[in-house]
Amino acid sequence: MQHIRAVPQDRADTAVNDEAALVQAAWEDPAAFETLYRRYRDRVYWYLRGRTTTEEDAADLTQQVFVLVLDALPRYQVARGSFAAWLFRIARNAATDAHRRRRTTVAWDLVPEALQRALEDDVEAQVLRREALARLGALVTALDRDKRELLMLRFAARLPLADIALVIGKSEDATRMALARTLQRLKEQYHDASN
Amino acid sequence: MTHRTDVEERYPDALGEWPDPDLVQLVGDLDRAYTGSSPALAPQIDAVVLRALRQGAAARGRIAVVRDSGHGHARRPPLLRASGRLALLVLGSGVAAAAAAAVAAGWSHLGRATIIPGTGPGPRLRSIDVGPSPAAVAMDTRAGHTFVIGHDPVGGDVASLLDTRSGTLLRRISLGRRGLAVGSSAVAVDEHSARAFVITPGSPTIAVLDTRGGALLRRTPLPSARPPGLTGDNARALAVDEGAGRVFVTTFADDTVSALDARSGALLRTTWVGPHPAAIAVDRRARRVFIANTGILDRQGRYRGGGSVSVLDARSGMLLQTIPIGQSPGALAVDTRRNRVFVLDRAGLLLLDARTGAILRTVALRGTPTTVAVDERTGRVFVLVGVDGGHIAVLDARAGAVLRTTPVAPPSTGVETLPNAVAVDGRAGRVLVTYEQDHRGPNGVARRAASYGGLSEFDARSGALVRTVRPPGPGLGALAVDDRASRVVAINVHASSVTMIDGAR
Repeated sequence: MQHIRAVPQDRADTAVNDEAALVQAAWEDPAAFETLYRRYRDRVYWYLRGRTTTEEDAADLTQQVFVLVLDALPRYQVARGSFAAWLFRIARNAATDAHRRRRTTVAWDLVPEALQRALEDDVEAQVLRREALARLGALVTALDRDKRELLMLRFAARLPLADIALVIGKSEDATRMALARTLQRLKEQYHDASN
Repeated sequence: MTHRTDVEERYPDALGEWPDPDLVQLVGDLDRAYTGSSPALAPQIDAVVLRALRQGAAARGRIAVVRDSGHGHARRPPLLRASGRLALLVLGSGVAAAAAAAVAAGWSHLGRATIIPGTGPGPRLRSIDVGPSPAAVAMDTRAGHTFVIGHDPVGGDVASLLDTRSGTLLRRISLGRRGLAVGSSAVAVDEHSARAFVITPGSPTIAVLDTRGGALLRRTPLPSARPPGLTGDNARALAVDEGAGRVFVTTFADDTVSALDARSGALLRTTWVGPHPAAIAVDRRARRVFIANTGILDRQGRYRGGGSVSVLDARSGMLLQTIPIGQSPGALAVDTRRNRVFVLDRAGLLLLDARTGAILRTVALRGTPTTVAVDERTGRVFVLVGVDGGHIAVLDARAGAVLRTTPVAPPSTGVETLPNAVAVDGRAGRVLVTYEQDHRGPNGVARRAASYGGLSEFDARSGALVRTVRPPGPGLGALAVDDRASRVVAINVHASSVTMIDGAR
């Protein structure tokens, strides 16, 4: 079992206060929201990219999410959690709604663009890395939905555990435990597959 | 092992005190796989979201025409708080005046609609859910039905069909398009053919609905040069000429006006007009169509010239005349009895001769005029003055003289009032104005949470304030009137329901 540390509290508090101030400012000056938008655009996109089948769907959904956030901005309450947690709750609901409406199979594969990036200078090393990532993609795809969601929120959305807990509606301890177990299981499978 | 260090730095909560190398490898690979660089479609995402932001900033003036025509943004109210909906209702004499209301509405994700009935002596309020983001409203008084158009990027655009008398929701009609789009929502009704014509943001088509049952009869594609979806804002404003059996639609980005057959919805003709046609009004007697062309705006919304009013023949759609207007016209109305066209620009109101196009008079107004309506029975013109105003100016329709200026809501210290939309209830002899209000902080900045609003009734002849109704919620937007049933339907901002209020008499 992994021993999991928390994100340093002072850093988290600073971010929350900073973003609460930006949200407040956005009520009075939309330019302030642009800061938040630019801060989260890629994270929202990559999270949604993992929940959609095409880049276009992810881009479309990303736009929708930010419009929904703009709409709901006056309802954001700092006391109920960080802006990031609130934002990704909206993103998660939007992705779920979109999936439900389309009734199509959504691939939870790793992000293709990322898989195709050159990771090493050495061509042989590149090939090996790609193969490794492809194996990892297959392992992630085989996970159940909740575990994949955990990984998306942690690695694509880059949310800390406390925020993930808010997004998925579980306690921080339960979230920490679920992530640790998922990583542990994945690690073993990944190691076995690599060997 | 730089990468290992990076991974440990980034994921302290996923790695142990003494991390297992295999776990570090896994977490590092997950990080690589999931954390991409800027998405390839980032420019498209930016274009839409940032444009929405800019329009939201402009709409903080709560005036679509201000945003659309590039009128000066003298102040910046809170983000997207009114989403800039405005109604331009030209209610003629001899026709069931309140009936067809072409309500031009701006981009909205925040509204709700309100129905205001007129039976009994006192106000009676009722709330009806119409779904998210209603933005435009129009009535068919013959059918006794009201359409409320909502733009929902997630669930899809929807027309809600209400029974105007009972205020019940009869049906919700999916207009199909999903996804974010920036642009206008508008709806106009032709009672003669029992058709409603609907613009939704970003859609390249006009939806044609049956006003009796709400059936979606067809979608008429407009010959827009712009692709649907991400670019948005294809059609802007609608007007119906029941006598000529025509519907006219302005396409803001393409500088065109299209004429549709009012019964079939078929596209008949598309005519090039001036730059950025934003508003439209019909002279039913002269069978002419007047279009306010905003002119050329730079990226900062500064006016760069080219503002004009185009005059079309209502039957053929031919361009008859172009009248240069110096200061970016953004709204207009026609008095067919007196052959007058009233055009709002940045400087105030211009009075035009409807037959010759001559500018008869320019009337300066204190503040920024945003929308205009005419009561042909009383010969009065009503101009809402938003930014730096918060009042309604009443003018004589023949001469253009300002007769009276009245605050839209009772003045209160530290409160700023911004009128949203105006409609004339000819039968009741009332002018109805929706508005929002903000408490102002000590530095003049609006305090978002304190906003509220309502509906004020004015005497259509004297312009005196008769009464103010304040339904719960942060304010009212676009509205339409059924003077037979004594009902008013208004967009209620920041929510998604309908409220009924007892009426105007």
